[in-house]
Amino acid sequence: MQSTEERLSQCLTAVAERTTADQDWRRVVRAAHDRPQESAAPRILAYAAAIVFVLAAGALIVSRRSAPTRIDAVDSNQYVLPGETLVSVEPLTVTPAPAPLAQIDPNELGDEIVVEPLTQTDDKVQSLIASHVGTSPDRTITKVTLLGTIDGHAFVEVITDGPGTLAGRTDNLRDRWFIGPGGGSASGDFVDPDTTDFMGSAIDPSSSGPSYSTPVGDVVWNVRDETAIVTFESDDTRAWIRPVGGYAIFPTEFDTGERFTLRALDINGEVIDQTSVTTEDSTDSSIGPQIGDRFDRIEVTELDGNQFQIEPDGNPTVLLYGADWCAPCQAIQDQTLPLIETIDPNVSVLLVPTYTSPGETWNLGPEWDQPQIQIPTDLSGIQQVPTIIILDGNNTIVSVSIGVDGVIEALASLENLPTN
Amino acid sequence: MTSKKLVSLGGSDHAEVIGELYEREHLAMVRLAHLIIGARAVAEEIVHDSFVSLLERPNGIDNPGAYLRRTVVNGCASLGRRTAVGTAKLQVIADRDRHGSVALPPEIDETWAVLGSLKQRQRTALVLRYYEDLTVAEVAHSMDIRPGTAKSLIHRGLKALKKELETHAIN
Repeated sequence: MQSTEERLSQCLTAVAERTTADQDWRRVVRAAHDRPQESAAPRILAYAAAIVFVLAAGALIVSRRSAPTRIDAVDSNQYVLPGETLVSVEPLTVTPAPAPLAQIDPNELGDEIVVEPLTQTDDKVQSLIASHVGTSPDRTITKVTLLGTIDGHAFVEVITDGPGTLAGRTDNLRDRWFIGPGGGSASGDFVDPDTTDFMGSAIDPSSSGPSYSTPVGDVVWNVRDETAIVTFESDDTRAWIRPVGGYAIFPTEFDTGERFTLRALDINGEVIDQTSVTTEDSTDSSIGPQIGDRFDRIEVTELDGNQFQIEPDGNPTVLLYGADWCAPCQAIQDQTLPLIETIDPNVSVLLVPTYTSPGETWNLGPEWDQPQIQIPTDLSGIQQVPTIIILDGNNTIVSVSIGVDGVIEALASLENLPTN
Repeated sequence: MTSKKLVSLGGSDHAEVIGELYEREHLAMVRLAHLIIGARAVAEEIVHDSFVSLLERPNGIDNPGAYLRRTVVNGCASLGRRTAVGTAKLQVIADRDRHGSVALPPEIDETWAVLGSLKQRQRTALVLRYYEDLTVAEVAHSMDIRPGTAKSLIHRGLKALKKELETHAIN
C-alpha cells in the first residue's frame, strides 16, 4: 500500500506534468520598462522621512509603559470554537494582568504620513518598496499611515494607485505591513528585532470574520472594542502584541499540551478580555505499532544505506525515535544515557531520526554511538517524538512509550526482559 | 540553479541572465505556483510578476534561481494571506481550472482535491518538500521561515493529508 508521502509525490508530479504555460519574455521586459521616468530625489527624501518618522514614533511609543490592569473573570467559552485540536477552554483570572510588552498611545494611532506619490524610479526607493511593500514598478504609493508600533516595529498602512500589483495582486490597492527596526522586515511578517527570527504574520479579521487562524485551530473571538489590541502568547513564549483593529500575531510553533492565551487590550493597554486554549494530545493510539505486534523479521536500513534484519534471536531490541528539532528529544541526552549505558550488551539499541530530511542524523552527542536507521516500514506510523519501542527476544512489541518520562520508564523496565 | 552574479539593474548582462533564467525556469515556476495555489492562470501571473521583480531588482543576486523560487513562493503566500473573499475567488478559479484540465486518474484527483483543502502554508511546505524535493532547510529558506517551523508545517500537512485521505476512503 502506498504511503501518504508516495501518494502525494505521485499526485504533485502528475498535476505538474499536465500544467502548461506560454512563455512571453517580451511581456516581462515591457512590464519592467514601462514605468514613469521622473526625478526621484524628492521622493527619496519623502519616503526616507516617512520611515524615519515611523521608526522614531515606534521608539517613543515603546518607551511608554502603563500600569498593569486588573480583571476579575471572564466567560471565555463563547469565544472558542472547539476544533480538533482544542480541548480545554478555561476562563482566566489574572490579578494583576501581566504588563503588555508595548503600549500604544492613542494619540499616535491614525497619524498619517502623507507623502508625494512614489514610484520606483530610483534604486533606493525601489529597494525600499520591494523589501517592504512589494509593489510592481508601475504601481504608485500615494499614502503611508502609521497604525501602531510593536517592539520597535512600525505597522503601516500603504495606499496605492494605478496599474500593476501590490503584494502580487492587481486588485490590491491597500495593504498593511510591518517595518522592522532599521527597515528590515519582509513580506509583512513580524520578526524578532533582536534575532530577526520569524515570529508570525498579520491577518485581517475585518475581511475574514472575527476569527483568528492560529496554530491550534481557528479561534473565534469577538473583541468588544474594534480598536482592541490582541495578544497571543504561550506558556513558554514571549507575548507579541498587535495593535489596531483586532489584528493578531501568533507564534508558528507549539507543542502538545501547550497553553496559549489570547488577550484583548484597549488602546490604553488595559486588558478588557482574555481566553485560553490548550493543544490536545492528538495521538491516536490505534495508529502505528501496537503492543503485541509480532514480526518474523524486520527489515532495517541504516542512514548510510547498510541493510540488516532484526531477527527473533532471543535478545530484545530498542528503537528510540526522535529528532534534533524536538526539544524534549534533546532532553533524553542527559536523562537516558546512564540507562542506555547499563543496558545488557546483547540488547540492540537503534536510534530512529523522525520527521527529518532523508539521511539527516539525530545528533545526541559523542557518547551516543548507536546505529541510526531509517524508520522501518513495519514500525512506521509514529505520531510523536520521543517515542520508544521495545521488542522482546521473539520480535514482539512489549512497549510503546511516548515522551521523556515514558522513554525512561520503558528503559528501566528492560532489566525484566530475558536475554541470551 | 545558476549561481551567476547579477551586476546591475537593467544592464544588458543582467537582462540576459534573467532572460536565460526565464527560458529555463518559467514552466517549472508556473508548475510550482500552480501546485501551491491550485489555479494555473493565477500561477502564471505570479510567475510573471516575479520575473518582472527580478529584472527590476537593483542589487546583485548571488543565486537568482533560488531568489526566483523564493519570490514565487512569497507571491503565492501573499495571495494566500488575502481575505476569505479572495480565497473563495481563488477556489472558484482553481475549481474552474480543475474541471477544465485534462482528467486525472481518480486517486490522483482525490489527492489533489484533498491537498487543496489544506492550509496554504502546509500545502506550500509539502509541495516544496515532495515536489521540489528540497531539504527542510531549503524549504525554510524558500518560505522565509525557521527550519523548525518548516518541519512542523510538513509534519502537520502530511498528517492532515493522511487523515483526509482516510476519511475519503471510508466515505
